[in-house]
Amino acid sequence: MMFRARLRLAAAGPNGRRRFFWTLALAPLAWGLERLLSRTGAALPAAPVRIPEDVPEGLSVVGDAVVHRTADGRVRAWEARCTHLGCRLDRVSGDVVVCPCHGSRFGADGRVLEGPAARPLDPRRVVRAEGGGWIAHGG
Amino acid sequence: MAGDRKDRPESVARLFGVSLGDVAAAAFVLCALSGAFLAVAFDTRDAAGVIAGWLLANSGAVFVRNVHYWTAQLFLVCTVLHAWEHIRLGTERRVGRGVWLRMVLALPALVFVMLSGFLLRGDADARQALRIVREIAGAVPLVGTRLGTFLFGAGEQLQVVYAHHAATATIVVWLVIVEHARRLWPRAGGVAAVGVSTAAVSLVLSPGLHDGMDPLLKGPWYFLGLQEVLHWLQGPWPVVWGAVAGLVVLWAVPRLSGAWRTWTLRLLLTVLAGYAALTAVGLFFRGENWRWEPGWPRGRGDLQPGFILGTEPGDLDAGLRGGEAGGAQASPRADPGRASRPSGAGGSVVAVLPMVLGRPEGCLVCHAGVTGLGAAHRPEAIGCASCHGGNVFTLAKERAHAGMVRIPGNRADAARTCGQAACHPTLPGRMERSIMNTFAGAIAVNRRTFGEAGGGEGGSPPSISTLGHSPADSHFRQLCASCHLGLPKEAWGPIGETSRGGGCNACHLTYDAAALKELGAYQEASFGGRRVPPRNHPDLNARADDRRCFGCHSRSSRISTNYEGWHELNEAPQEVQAELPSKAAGGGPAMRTAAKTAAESQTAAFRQLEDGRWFRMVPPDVHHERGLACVDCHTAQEVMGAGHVVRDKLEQVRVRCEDCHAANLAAVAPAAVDPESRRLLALRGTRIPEGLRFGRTRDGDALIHVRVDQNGRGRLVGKVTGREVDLRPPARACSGDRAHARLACATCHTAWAPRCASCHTTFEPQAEGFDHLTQEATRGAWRERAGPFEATPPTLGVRRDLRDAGRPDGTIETYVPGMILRLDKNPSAAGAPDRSFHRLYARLSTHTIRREVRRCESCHADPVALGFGSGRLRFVLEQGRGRWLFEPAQGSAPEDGLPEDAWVGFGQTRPGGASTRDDARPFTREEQQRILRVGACLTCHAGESAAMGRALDDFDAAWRARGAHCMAPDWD
Repeated sequence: MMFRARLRLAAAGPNGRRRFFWTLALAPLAWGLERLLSRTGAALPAAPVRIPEDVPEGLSVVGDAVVHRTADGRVRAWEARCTHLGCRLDRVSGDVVVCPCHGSRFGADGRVLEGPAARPLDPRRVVRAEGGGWIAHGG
Repeated sequence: MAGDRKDRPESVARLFGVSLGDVAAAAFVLCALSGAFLAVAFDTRDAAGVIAGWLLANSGAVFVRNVHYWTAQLFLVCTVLHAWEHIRLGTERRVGRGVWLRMVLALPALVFVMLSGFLLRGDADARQALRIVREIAGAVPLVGTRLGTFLFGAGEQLQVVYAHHAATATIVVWLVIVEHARRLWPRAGGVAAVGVSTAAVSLVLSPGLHDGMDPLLKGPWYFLGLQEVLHWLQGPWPVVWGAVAGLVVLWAVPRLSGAWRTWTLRLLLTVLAGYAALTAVGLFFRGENWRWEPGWPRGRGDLQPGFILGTEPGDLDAGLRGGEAGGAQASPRADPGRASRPSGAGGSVVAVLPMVLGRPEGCLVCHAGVTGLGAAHRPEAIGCASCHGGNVFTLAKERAHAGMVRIPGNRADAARTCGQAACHPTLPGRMERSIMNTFAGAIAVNRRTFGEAGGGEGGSPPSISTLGHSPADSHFRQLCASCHLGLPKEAWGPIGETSRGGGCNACHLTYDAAALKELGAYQEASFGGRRVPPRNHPDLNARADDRRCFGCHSRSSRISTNYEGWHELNEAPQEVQAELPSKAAGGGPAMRTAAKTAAESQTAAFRQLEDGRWFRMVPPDVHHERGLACVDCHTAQEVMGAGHVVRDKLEQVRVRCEDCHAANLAAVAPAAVDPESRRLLALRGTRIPEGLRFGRTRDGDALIHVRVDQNGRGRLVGKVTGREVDLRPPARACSGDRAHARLACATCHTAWAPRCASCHTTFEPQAEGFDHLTQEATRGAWRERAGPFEATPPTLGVRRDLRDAGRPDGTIETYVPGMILRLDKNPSAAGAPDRSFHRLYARLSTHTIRREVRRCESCHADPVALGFGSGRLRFVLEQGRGRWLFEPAQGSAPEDGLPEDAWVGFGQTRPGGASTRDDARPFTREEQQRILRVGACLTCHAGESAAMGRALDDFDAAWRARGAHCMAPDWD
């Protein structure tokens, strides 16, 4: 690759060489811009969600979490975010969560029942909260 | 947009000397100018709130916003058409390569300017769109995530989008326009044409604002095609590469010639046309959750028609001072306490707009001071639109009420009103599956009787939602389908005797005296005078009194009337007939009014219901006497369903007598009750003292109104009345008696049951019937005629309850004639008759429970109790032999030879198909003999005698020890 570049540089003559060095001079600028973007583009961690003690049996949406409570009281939670294109999941239709943007359907175990989403919901870690209820921590 | 005439396409389309390029340039400039006005008042921290403030109180700002919107759309459309015009004519080759490259590269900036404008609405549509476009930007190789953040910022903050929309991207687009058009300002003709046309449109068509309640979510119209494409893709990367490929092709167009150019243009045209078609699909064929629902766009974010100068801030001021706006009174008192922040575009008026759930709620400006609703539903907490929908962002009555749900809670809208995500999301699904909605059991029995398939044999239970038009189903539609919960409530007013259906309202809508009075005044005003919408709103609560159940359950098995001690009569009783005007003299309402007076004069010995039926007072159910309401026994899991589909009523009934009447009641600790019960406890403010436990059904449902002490004794607190009742354990005879171990509690404790042994159902092909499901008249009518009603102790039969492991041979329960009928499915003159005869008894939960029990003879020597029908049953001694003889009171049916009212022949066993239930049957010959053997003893020994007492403990031992004078029945 380096060999080819030298050949091209030689063939380009003085003007090509000047352009090449100008390009090199732009590299620090590009690097600085990239660093700036990478700093502003850092992904925000998902905030914990407080699940109340009386969260109903079955599926429900609590804040940014999809919550499933079984008949025996166990609670699981996922990100209320469609794995297709990130739409917020805010509604439960019967026993499934349906994405309002493109119609992906997720079951009570977070798995995809119907696309276009291809992967299950991102799970949240659920722990008991002091004073009742649960806390669903982001992944 | 060519400044030099030489560069303009030769056959460019012009109107009044204005080309598409001129229009696009003018639209851009006007868009930028109007945007500058909006930018001053805009606040990215509450974008939707600011726009809502404009919509509600500042028609000037709405006009500027509309102009901004429409000029932007015009700019987009004209730019695309202008570019295509150039390419079609080949004039793009006259443009310098660098200029063309910059124009092509400006296209993403153009798309971004449009899209960012949509995102700056900050409403529900825009927030979802922001997530999607950030995800698409994230699919750009190497710099994806960073590019997304650079263009759209992080989280839901709109500062970055705002900066790019108002400055960066706009400047880029403007530079390219100037470079291409070679002039700074557009032509005056273009500006005038665009200004006048967009101003006119802006007065009557406003872009909507999605309040987050409407489940229908859509992006901007020019992205609906992309949204459709994304619906079929698992990820966004094909879109990114497709866009890059498109730009490359566009860049290459001027360099192509001959067949290459022709085919490339055809390809571009095809893509453009395909995208337009997909956009149309997204606009007109996609509904909630991207389902296929053809129709005109109706989302909250779609265009809202209406003259925007309908409400001026001055009117609003007057309204807020307590004057009138939109035809109703308003008052600052209704301000829920949180006022919207001044937006700069609405001034002090906006500062006092009622705020609900974080948004301005325009409804409360006109409908201020509405009272009557409890804490959970009061307008100050959830507003009006949470339940009723409509448009909260306008004060113009017509637009505010567009799409409004006048009576929310019906099954059709329950999911988006009462059952929306933030309120009661699980309940509509439960109600949908509830037996009171599906009518599965009744439909199955009806179809089986008609000999039709679809009675739930082995498959899923039938449902009223899939009812067809077969003879059985048409019979059901006309005679039975008026009662299901899915029937919509369409008129204001309380739930009463003639109410049917109503979804959530059927149980939860409560009118107090003040609400009723105002409703009456409002309805009277419809005949003249000024109508003021009632300010006393009926309440919605869980204190469902018995009137909710009465309308439907006073029919069929008459549970409600039984419970209150009303026995139905075939006609007005003689005691009040003399006071009634004759039918010939004019019956109808006048007769009913007189009858009511007459009934009252008889010290409530009789009662006439609003539907005209007469009832006589007989002993009511002891639970009714003690003040228990229906819901004191029937839990929420029963009346609303537990969420799964059931086959019949008994599958849905979960409570048993033993749940409240046991020596040691089953109980559950407060910490272990289900979430729904916990919520109800919290709503009622129930104090839970240390050590308290609640009752529990065998299915595990908590009975939170039953308090169980440490000794297992219970006390019930009435859900409706609050009255406390001690729960008594069963008597020793009930729990320690081996002889009657197979009997249900109600078998002995039922005082009476309504009995109509000869009902007739006929079909009149030429008469006009009424389909309760479609609410339409139909050709052909089913008629039902009742025989004489009786109030007698019920017949007994056997049912195998799979849930009752303690009674493997079945439980002896109460039955009444269900369907003893002759059916002709082809009663028309043409064709052969299709007649059938049915003799079915139905299990009846009598709801006529008394503390005292039936006498021994009323079961062991009674022909009605044993299923033989009415008549004389006697034990005779002849020639040293004892024999039971039965003389029926009614004649024999020619079809089966049994008395008309019988369930089973005397001394006979009936094969299957004798009951409306598959698991129920009359006594067999052997069972009849065992029962009548005791009956023979009772001819000499009183039921309370010591001999019969010993028989209760061990009948066989007592029988073996019988005296020589005891005569056993001879069955030969």
